[in-house]
Amino acid sequence: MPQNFPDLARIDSMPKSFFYFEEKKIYFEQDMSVAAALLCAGVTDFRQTQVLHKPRGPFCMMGACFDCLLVIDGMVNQQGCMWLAKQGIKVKRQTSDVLSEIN
Amino acid sequence: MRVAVIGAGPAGISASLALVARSVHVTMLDEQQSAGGQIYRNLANVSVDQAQNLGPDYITGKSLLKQLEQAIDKKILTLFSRTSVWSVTEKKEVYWSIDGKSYCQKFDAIILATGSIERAMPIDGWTNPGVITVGAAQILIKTARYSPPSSVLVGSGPLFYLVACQMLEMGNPPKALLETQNNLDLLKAFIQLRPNLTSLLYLAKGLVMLAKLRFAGVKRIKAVRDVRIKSKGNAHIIEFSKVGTKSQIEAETVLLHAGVHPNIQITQALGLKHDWSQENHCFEPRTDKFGRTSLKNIFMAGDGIKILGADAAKISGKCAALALLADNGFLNAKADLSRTYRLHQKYVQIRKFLDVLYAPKDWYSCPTNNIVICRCEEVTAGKIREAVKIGCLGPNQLKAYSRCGMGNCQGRYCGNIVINLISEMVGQTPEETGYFRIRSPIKPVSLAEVANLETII
Amino acid sequence: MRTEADFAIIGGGIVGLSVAHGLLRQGCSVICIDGSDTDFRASRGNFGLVWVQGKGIRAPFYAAWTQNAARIYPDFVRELSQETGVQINYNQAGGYEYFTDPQTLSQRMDEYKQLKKALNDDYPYEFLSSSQIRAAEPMIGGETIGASFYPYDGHLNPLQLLKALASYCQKQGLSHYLGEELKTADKKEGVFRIVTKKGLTISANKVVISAGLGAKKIGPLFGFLGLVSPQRGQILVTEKISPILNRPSVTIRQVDEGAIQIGDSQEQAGFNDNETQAQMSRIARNAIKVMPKLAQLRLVRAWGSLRVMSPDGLPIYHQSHTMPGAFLITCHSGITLAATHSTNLSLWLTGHKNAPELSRFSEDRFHA
Repeated sequence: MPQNFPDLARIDSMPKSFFYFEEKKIYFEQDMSVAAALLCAGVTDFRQTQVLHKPRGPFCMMGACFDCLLVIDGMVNQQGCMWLAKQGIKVKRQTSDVLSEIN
Repeated sequence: MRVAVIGAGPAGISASLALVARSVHVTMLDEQQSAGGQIYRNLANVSVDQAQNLGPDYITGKSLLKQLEQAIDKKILTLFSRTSVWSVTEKKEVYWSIDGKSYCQKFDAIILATGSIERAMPIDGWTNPGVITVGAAQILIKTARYSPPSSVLVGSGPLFYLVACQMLEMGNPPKALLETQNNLDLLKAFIQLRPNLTSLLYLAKGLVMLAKLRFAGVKRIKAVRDVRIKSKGNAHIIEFSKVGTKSQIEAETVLLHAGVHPNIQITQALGLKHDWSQENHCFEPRTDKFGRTSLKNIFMAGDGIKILGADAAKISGKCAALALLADNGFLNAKADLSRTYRLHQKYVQIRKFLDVLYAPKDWYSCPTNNIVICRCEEVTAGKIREAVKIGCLGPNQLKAYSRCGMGNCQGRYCGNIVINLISEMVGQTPEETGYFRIRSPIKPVSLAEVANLETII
Repeated sequence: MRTEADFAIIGGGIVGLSVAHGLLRQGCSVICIDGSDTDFRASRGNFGLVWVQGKGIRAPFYAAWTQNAARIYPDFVRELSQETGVQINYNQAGGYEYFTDPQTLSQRMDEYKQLKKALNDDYPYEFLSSSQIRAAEPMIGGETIGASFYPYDGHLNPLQLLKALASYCQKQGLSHYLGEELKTADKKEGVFRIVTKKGLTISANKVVISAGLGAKKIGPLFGFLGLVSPQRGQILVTEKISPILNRPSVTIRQVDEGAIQIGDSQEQAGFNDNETQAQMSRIARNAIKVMPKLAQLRLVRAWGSLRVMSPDGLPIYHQSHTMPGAFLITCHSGITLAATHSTNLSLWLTGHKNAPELSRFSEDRFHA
C-alpha cells in the first residue's frame, strides 16, 4: 500500500489529527481504526510472531484474527482494528521481546 | 421480561425491533464502534456520496439503523457498543467487558446474532503483511474511505465481486481478479438451481456487478490454481497456474476471499450441537427452523446459523424474536412466525447455487506441508499431519500435540480447515471428528476485570 | 498393528503411556486401547507440575514415593527428549507454596516438620519469610506473608511430555488403538481376552487399567473396586509475556511459551468439566492477592478438568485378586509420577525382583 498522501477527493478536508507510530506521525480521519490508519499510511507489518519471528499485520480488520496486535500507550497485545484512532496515542510495533511491559 | 441480543448486525437489529414493538425491553451488546454489523458497518457516519459507492444494499440498512436509533431514543432499547461479550452461559448469564470493566447480567432470554467470519484461505504467503481479506478491504472502504490501490483479489464468492465493484466505484478498481472457480463449477451450479423470484433478482444483481467490472476493463482470470504469494514489503508477486500454464502478477495489496461461515465461538462454548454443512464446509449450530436452539429461551438469528445473506438475516431476526415471544406467552406471535418463516425460505435456493459455484478448492482439501494453517501458533499442515500420525482422532488431541487452535483466535480461522484435514486423514466424517472445545473467555479480558466483576441485578 | 501382546493397557493418557514406555524398554510387547478425543482426559488438562511438597502429609510412604519420583525425573526427561526430539522443557529448580494467612502457614510448618521426621530427615524443605520471598520472586507482593520451598519441585510442558511418550511408544512398536470402548473382558487359560464395542479383539497375558475415571466402569470387569471419582479443578491462562516468574508455585506458574497459568479449585461437580465464572473470579482474586501486578494481564482462556481422585487421594496400585495378571493403576498426579511409573511401576508389572513394595497402595486399604 502507498504512503499516506491525500488523494484528490480529500484535498479539501486534509486530516489534522494524528497519532504516533514509533517516530512517525500517522494522520487519520474520524471513524478510522488505528489499523486502518496505519494501512493507509503504508504500514502493513505490525508485529513479529513469537515462535518464528515472522512479520504479521492486519488480516480480517474485524477483531477475529488477532494478527494486528500492537503496543498502544504501553499496553501490549492491543488489536489495532478494534482501537479507534485517537489524537496523540503512542503506537509501536510488537516485537517478540516487547512482551515485557508489565509495570 | 429481559432479553439480551448479542450482535447488532441486520439480524440482531431486526430481532430487537420486533421485540420492542411488543414492549419487551432489549439490551443489545455489540463489539463494533456502532451498530450495523459488518454489512452496514459505519453506515451512520458515511456520507451520501460514499454510501452510493457501496451500493443499494448498503443504503437499505439506513432505514433499519434509523428505526434502531428511534427505539434507543425512546429508551425502549439499550445498545452497548464497543462491548466485548466474553461469556454466555446455559443459565442465560451474559458476561461482557466495556471500557476496562466487566459486567454480568442474567437474562430471561437471549438471541445470538453473532454473524459470520470469512473462511480462511491457507495458500502460500497468506500470512504475509499486506495480504488481507476482501472483507477487511471492505471495512477499509467503509470506515477509512480508502480503497487499496493496485490490488489483486484471489478467490471467489459473492463478497469477492461486491468488493471489487465497491473498489471500482471508489476510483480504485482492482488490478485483476484471480478467480478460483471454473466453468464446470458454473455448470454444476446451474444444473441444480431451481430459481425462484428471489434467486433471479439476486442473479440479476450479480450479473450487473460482473457487467460493471467488464465495462471498466477489470481483468478476470478464472480457474486459477496453485496460488503462491511472494512478498517483499508492500510489493507482492502472485504466482498462479491456469490450465497448466504458470503465470504471475504483481500487486501492492492482495485480497483473499473464499466465502464466509458462521462464527461459532459462543455456540460452541455453550455446548450446543453443531452439524457439518457439506455445502458450505463448516459447522453450523443446530436450530429449529425458527431459530430455537436446544436450550430453552436461547435463540439464534442470521448468518450465525447459516449463511444466507443480510436480507435473509433481517427476516431471520424477526423469526427468532417471534419464536421468543410465542414461547413466552405472547399471543398472536405464532401466526406471524409462520408467515415470516416463509419469507425467509426464499433465500435458500440461491444459496445452494452459490455454494456449488464457489466451493473451496485444492488449497482447502490438501494444503502442502509448508503452509501455515494455524496462524496464531504458526502450525503448518505438515506439523498437523505429523501430530495426527502420532495419534489424534480429533482436534482436541491435535491441539495438545501441536498447539494448533490454542492461540488468540481460538480456532476461528483454522477450525473448519483442521476438522476437514483430520477427517480426511483419519477417514471419518467431520461430525465424528468434532470441533475444538471452546471455552470462555471467548475474547480476552483482564484478570482485574474478572476479579472485580460487577453483577447487574 | 498387533492384536496379541504381553500387555494390554486400557487407557492411553499420561499414566498408560508412562507405563507403556517402561514396559517397552523392558522388551515387552504392548497394546494400548484408548478412548476418544472428547473423553475427559486429565492428561490434557493438568497444571504441568512435577510436584512433591504438600503431598503425603498424612502418609509418609506416599511422600517418599513422590520424592523419589522427582529425583529420577531429570534423567527420564532427558532420555525421552533425546530419543524423540520433542522439547519437554522440564525445569527442576524448586517450587513454592505462597501463604497469606498466618494460621495456615504455621500449620504447614508443623506438618512439614512432622513429615521430615517420619522420613528420617530426608525431606529438604525450607520456609521463606515475607521479605525473602519478595526478594526471590519480584512479582510477589500484596498479602503474601511467606512461602514454603522444596528444591526438587519443578514444572514442564505436559502436552509435550504426552506427545513425546506417544511418539516414543509408537516408534518402539506400541499398537495404539484410538476411539475404542471396552465391551467385554475375560480370562481363559491364563490369557486375557478383551473385546471392544467396535469389535476389536485383543489377547494379552497381562492387563493394565489406566483409564482414569473410566476405571469405575471398567475396573469391576477385572475384579477391581475402581473407587475413583471426579474432582474438578479450574485453570486460568493469561496472554504470553516475557519471563517474570523464576519458579513455579502450586497455583501460579509461567509456562514455557510465556503465558501465566493460574489455578486452582477443588470442586465436587460430578462429571462436568465446564469452567465457571464464579471460580474464575475467585482464582483471579486469589492470584492478585499474592501477585498484584498480575491484574493487568489478560485472560485468554480458562478451562476445567477432572482430577481422578481415590477416596484418600493417594494412588491405587493393585493387582486383581480374582483375576491375577490384571493391574489397576490410577492417581491424580500422573505427571509427577510419570518417571516412576515408567521405571519402578513397570518392574512391579513384570514381577521383576527389583519391583517396589506397593502393598500400601492397594485397594485392600479401602476394605478396612
